[in-house]
Amino acid sequence: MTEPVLSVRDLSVSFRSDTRTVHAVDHVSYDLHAGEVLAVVGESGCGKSVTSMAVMGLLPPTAHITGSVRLGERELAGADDKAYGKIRGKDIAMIFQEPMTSLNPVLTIGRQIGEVLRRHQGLSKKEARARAVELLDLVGIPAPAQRVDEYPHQLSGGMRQRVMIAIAVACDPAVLIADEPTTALDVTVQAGILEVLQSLRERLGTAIVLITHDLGVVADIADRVLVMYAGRPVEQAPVDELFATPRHPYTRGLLSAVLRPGTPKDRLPEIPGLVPSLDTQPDACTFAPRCARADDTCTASRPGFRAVPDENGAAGADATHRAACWHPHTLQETAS
Amino acid sequence: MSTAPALELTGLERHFAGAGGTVRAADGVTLTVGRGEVVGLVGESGSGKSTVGRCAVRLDEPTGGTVRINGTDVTTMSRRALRPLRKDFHLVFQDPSSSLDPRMTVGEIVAEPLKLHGIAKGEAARARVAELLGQVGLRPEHADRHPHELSGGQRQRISIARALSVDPALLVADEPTSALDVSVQASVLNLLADLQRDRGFGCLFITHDLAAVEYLADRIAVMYLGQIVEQAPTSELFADPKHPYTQALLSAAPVPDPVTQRTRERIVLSGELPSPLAPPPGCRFHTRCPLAVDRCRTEVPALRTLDGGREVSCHLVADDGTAPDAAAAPSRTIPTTRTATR
Repeated sequence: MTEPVLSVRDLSVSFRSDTRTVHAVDHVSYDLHAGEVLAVVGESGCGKSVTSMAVMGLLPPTAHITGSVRLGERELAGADDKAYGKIRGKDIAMIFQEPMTSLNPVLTIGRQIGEVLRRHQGLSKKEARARAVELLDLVGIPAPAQRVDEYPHQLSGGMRQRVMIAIAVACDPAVLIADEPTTALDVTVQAGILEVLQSLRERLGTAIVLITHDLGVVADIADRVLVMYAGRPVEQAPVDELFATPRHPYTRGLLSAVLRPGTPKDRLPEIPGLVPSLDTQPDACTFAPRCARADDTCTASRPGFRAVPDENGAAGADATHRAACWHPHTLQETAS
Repeated sequence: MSTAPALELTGLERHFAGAGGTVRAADGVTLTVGRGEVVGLVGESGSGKSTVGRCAVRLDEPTGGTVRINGTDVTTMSRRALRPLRKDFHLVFQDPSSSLDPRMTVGEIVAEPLKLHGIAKGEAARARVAELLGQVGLRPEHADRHPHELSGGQRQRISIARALSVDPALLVADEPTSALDVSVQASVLNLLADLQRDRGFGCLFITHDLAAVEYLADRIAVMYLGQIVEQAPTSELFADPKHPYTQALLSAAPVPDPVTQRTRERIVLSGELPSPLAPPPGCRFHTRCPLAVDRCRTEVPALRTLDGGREVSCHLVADDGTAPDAAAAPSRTIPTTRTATR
């Protein structure tokens, strides 16, 4: 297999105040290959956004970060703002949920796209504008030659998100991190944005980390999925495998709580209890208090993020499907 | 108790006059929510669905048409005359953090409608609050907490407890689950379904979440640019959407199953939602409809009843219900199938 373009190892992020320490991310690892879409899913507060902010070097100085983030040959963990300034927007870029707050309202969109190009590629004003028109075309904005001179408020929410994507991919970054890129958009607009991300992966080979809570979006575009719970990774698998044979009880709970077309009008399965506080890092499974399979082992020792057992129940050699669970569901169980 | 529907909107209009022209947020909406019935009102941002909800509970003043609650015409009733009737209808908002007063305890919040309507006070109110909290899955001691001490799901349960404290005939729920996580959303939907079954109130469930509305609603009305374009029993609408807009909407929502999702085709609508300041002539959807013909550009389609009772406003749907397939329109669909990179 080729070298990953982005490799995150044992990344942990904590925030300290005088009175307490919050462990927002606790030993997260993943690899991302060229042209691949990795979905990071989980509920509010699971650490999926903080993980990506740490990768991008966008966390405030109060954040305490440990572990390794390798972008190609470079180690990013511990890099200062100056070092990040050289790679953000060029080698790795990010788009956010709300495009209006990310765009500058008093500059034309052409100028905002051009800014990245002039900074990283040293293009002239004229060249940058011409390239901005091409980029607007790439992200499916009609009449790009006119739109390039418009201001953000003249565009709809979907069009603004397309502009954000154009800015993000202007320098052809190896990695694009998309944090809930379609959450604020209507479904018919979302469909268009997903098409754009899809075409970027196909045409430019951009590797995408897609952070979302929407399992429909995951099913639509992801190749692999990383499920997080309370700051920790709980399961990772190729997308079809994760939906067909989820091994971690939390993943199973999450998938069964999701409404699908034709869901019978019976009671929906719920996950009992609440997400734990992130103040402590117990040497235990943090899902145990809500888990029907939990026993003494689960509350006494933290499970490793290991390959799931194969069809014979033997310790799995298939490292593409991992789960952090002492009692993962067997393949036979997932079939029922 | 009367047998009139919980809510009856007839030709409801809400126009906002401004310097730039008149925004027709709701433009002739006719909709009935029967007693004990859950009606889903779906549409995208700017479709006017929330305006309809706000007018239905008189938080907004309709500029035309009538609003009847329990058979009483409340369209132009003064605020004062309306006050005693307010116990018959309640609204639950999307964001429970901004709709609950942060300075009040949970107990005070839930008891407020009881006191305002003179139903219970003092010890009786406290007992009723404990009972209501139990019904929405909270513990009696939650009554002494403040909203910020609770999770988003718990806060939404409090909004529901407050809305139901006076046993209304009508509950208007505007995106009650949209701000919640998946597992919490399931528990709030379960709660609404249980309460609705036990109490039998009529519910207007306003949402953009098609899966939630399919789960909860008996009947669905689809709005586009201030008007209802299709109305049908839930199962019929999902099995066989007639209006090209409904077809596009249903096709665009991704299904949480990768194998199924890969084989679906989505109808990608061209263009943008037109401005409600100047809705397109003819059918309002014609500018984005992949099937539009000349007639659609000039002649306004009426919302008419098909054989079998469904309602649709589209020239291309025949009276016997034969409808064109927007997905079959040339060059407008993009298969969701993708090249595997694994």
